[in-house]
Amino acid sequence: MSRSKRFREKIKPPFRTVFADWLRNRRVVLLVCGSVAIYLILSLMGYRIWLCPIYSATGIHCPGCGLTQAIREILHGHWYAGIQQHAFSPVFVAGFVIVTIISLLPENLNRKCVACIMNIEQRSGFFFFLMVLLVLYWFVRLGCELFN
Amino acid sequence: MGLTMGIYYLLSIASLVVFIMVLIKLFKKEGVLLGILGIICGLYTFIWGWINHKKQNITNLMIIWSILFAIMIILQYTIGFKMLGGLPQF
Repeated sequence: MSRSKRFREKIKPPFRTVFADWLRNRRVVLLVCGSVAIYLILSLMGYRIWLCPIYSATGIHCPGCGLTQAIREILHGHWYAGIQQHAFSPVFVAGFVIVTIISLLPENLNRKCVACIMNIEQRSGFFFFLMVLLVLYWFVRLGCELFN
Repeated sequence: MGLTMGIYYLLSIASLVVFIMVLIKLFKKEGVLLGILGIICGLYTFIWGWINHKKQNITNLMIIWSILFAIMIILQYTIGFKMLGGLPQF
């Protein structure tokens, strides 16, 4: 074994995998993606089958509030309006498409993709940063709502 | 109409309480990051709750949440979104 390889093996990856671990449970992923797809289709048709528990009780927007409308705008091709509604909507649309495709792949391809995502997540911690940024974005939005 | 709206708000507060209870279980079981995902996407918390209801012993809680939700959605369509401050943006 080369010296650099041994060195790489000694170093612990900087980030713990959460998203990739979740992706491994294919049944759960398919269930969540299916439910979200049904929800999106129905909301595109004008039917509401899900109410945000935080917004409906308190009137305060949760970090995900505005996502449905933003995704609707993006699906209609209105990217700017979608980003105005929720800045993270393109990320969620892309994430949803990628996760759905991965979960529908055959077993061996699915494993390879999950392993690849695990590798990326260990090195970049993209899921951790995405969640942190979303929380920060939520605080900024709440602040703007309070002061406007 | 006022009584119906009062009932709606009571149900929504009860729904929020149940949501927070399930969310606490989600945070404990899956960690902070998936917990945050549960706040962002309440639907994920709801599905996670039903998937793990036996392991987490929250069957009754999930049944209550589902019933509350069904009544709330029916009430929303009965009263109309405008009476409740417009179509909720979520």
